[in-house]
Amino acid sequence: MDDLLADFVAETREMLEAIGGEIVAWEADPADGTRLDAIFRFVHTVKGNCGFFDFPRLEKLSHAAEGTLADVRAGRRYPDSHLVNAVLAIIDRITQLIDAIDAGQELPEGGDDGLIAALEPDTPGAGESIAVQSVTAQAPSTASSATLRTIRLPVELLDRVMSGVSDMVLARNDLARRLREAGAEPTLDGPFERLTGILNDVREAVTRMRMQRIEHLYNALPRLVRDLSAELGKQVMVDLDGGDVELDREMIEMMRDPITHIIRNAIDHGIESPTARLAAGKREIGLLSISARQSGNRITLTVTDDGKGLDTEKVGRKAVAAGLVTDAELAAMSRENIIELIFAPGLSTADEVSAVSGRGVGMDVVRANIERVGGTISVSSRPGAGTQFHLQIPLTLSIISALTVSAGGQRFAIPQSYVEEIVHGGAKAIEFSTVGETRLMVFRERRTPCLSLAHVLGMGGNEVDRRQKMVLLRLGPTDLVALAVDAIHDQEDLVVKPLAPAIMQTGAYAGTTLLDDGNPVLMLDVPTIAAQNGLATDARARAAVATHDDNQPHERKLRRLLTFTAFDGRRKAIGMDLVMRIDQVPAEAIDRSATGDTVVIGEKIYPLVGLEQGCDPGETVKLLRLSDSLDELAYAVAELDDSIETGEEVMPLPEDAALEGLLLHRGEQLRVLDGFALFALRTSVATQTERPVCRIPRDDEWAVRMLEPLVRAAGYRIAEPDDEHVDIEIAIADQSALATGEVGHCIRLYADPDIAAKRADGVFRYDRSALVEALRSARQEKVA
Amino acid sequence: MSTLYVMIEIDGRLAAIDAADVQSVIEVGSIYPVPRAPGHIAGLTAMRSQSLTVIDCRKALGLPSQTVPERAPVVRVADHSYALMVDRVDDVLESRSEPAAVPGNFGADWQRAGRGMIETDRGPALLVNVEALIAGPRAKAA
Repeated sequence: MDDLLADFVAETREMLEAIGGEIVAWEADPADGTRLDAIFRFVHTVKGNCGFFDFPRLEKLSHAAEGTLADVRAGRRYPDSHLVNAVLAIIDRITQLIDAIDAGQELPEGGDDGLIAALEPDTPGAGESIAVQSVTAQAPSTASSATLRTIRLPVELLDRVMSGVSDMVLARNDLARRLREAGAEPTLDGPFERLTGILNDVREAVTRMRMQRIEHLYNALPRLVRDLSAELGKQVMVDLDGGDVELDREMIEMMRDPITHIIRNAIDHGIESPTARLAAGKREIGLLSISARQSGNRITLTVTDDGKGLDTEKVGRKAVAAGLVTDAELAAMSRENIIELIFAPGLSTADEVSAVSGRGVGMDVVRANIERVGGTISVSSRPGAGTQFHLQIPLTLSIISALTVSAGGQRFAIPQSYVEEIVHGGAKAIEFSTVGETRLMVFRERRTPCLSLAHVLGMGGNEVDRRQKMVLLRLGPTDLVALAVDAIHDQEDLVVKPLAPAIMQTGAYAGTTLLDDGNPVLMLDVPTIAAQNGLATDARARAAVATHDDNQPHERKLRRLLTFTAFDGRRKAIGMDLVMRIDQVPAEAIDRSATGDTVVIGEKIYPLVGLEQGCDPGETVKLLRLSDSLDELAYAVAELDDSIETGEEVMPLPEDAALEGLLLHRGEQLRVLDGFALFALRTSVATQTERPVCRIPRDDEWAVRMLEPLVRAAGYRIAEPDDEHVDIEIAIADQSALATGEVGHCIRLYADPDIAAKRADGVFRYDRSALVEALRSARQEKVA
Repeated sequence: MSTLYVMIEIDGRLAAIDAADVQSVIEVGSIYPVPRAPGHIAGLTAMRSQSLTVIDCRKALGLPSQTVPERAPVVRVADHSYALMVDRVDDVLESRSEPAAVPGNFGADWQRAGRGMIETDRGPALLVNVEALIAGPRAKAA
């Protein structure tokens, strides 16, 4: 294809993408002149451009649409839904033709005349069947902005540059190793440092080159939602947030199908018909909101609908019918566990296969696709109030954070996204047993299937040695498997390269990479390994776990703590939820000063705590990287120990503000660090001697995930269920109030901003600043 | 015009690989085995900060394996680089003839991996089909 033609195709695509939203907006309000103008300009430009090429059909179509739109602009015709559909049908056909031109295929024949005839006022229905065809197949194109100077590049070229830079990084690592081996050579060190610096800059720039705003995914959604809701007789408003979040172009493509699928399901099964919504006391227009947030090197995508929520009874029935669980198992399962069943293979909640969803592609495929790229998906749902899908995906496909382990004398890498926890095989909390050929490990009262990595890879028997380490891998929301390895090495960001086909066929590996020391290492393909050992699709195990959990329903709330030995020689523990990751840095990265230590990790400076004055940390220092979701800080530890789960009360130790208190664990005293105090001390938030107490709905996942950190950051302590007095309570308005103790003040969160505005104590649940303000004023009242 | 060939020895037989297929000849360092991979895949090795798949040519031809040689030619097939473990790597030679069919048969495994015979200064040599070596003994149908 010659360049001129390629430009024509790309430009037309760009315009198509840009007007996708305009079309829907225009349909919603046909009197809107600016939208009409935008669409008119599009067909006009297409018509003009195809004059240069020999595309009579494109010209005829765009000419007809232009004529009709000109009539509308002149006020000669009114844009009723019939006319809108006919125009949309023409735009869809233009998209198809452009795709055909791009692929160099024969243009699909026929039908154009029907579309053009449908533009006339008195030919009902002709355009409708075509109008609903999906436009999601559009290829993405590079965004261009009028204010920036841009050039158009083939994506393959970018990929080549990217892989070249990745190779340069590996070559640099290799060189660094050789320089170290050769001994100090001051004349080389300077230039080498400089090379490293430049390389890091280039790598970052190239990574940014491959980034696209998530808008490219969003652009097609208003149209998709509009077409689906029209087809299903529903009214749905779509709210897109965070379109400026950037992620890898490839990743955007990987997300297109899962997001489309979730939206289809939400409109088909989630959002009710307008009459049903009115009957349920909701607005007749359903709201579908999609938001994107970046946190560190991961993106969180949330798809929320305010429909009827997941029908657990129906999901349960289907699961029983599909043989995934037995009636008895189902009866013992909690609501959350039943909801998770929608990710099980072979389950579709559609009563009949409709044109929209239930085409045999289930949520299991969505989950598999997301996990393939190192992401996770979870769902929460409240009956009558809606469903929320959380997708967490890495920013890019090419660099994967991984844990390196060894088994059978060889090293392997495990993608960090699967690793839940690491326990020592010799820990007293672990018991092993064998049922048939299957090894089981009992840990925290859960039976977890246990695989020996050496055995999985055909290098040894499946006996598990007490001296081995157990890596707990999360396969699904409730599925764990323990993988026994000989040793755990390091956590590294690895540039993963594809393997030769003959090796890929084994199914055990996802790729290969070179470690910093220049040795190749294989990246394990966790889902396939689990499937090969009969574990991935075991919904029964899930049910069994649920049964077990429900046997002791309301035990004391268990806390997970990470234990370690601090530099003062004392054994301490910190809440696992604060620990983001574990790093190891050379001593040079630490800067010690009277005002407070700092450490450089990667390319950021973190406040550092835990190093006693005058103590010598040695050559490398292990760090816990802690996050309270707003700030991060590093805590230096001398030795890392197990993670524990405990229901024991913490005995307060008022004389030391940095400690939450003492905890008795297996006859040993552990000093539990107060995460709040740590952050208050080092991140310049005003310290508070006595924190007011706030109760939030503990059974609401949104509250625990989103609200809790925010409330904590505002200087509150979260109330425990047995707290008699709370200073303030936050309730979600459509849930029943759960005031159990004396409440001084209450903030009600509404999902609807209009209702929230009418109530004195009401706050729209996504209005962060209003919420923070309400918390702040409540705290001042208390002080006053 | 005659073509250049990299001369190798497998199981004492002289063989040749089209020099255009060969990226370089490397000193083989440590080889990291790949558990569960087909038998003719000896493992992975690092070359100038890339990892290469090492093919044991003797095993690919259904012969027993031998000790690891020092040097191996590197070939690139379908975007993957492979190091070929052969008994010996010799010079690069010009062929004195076009590849020709061998009278009779090379023998079952050699037949699959061979593309013909060429005449060189060192005598007749089997022209090796690199793809067939990489595919290994399993892909007999191909």
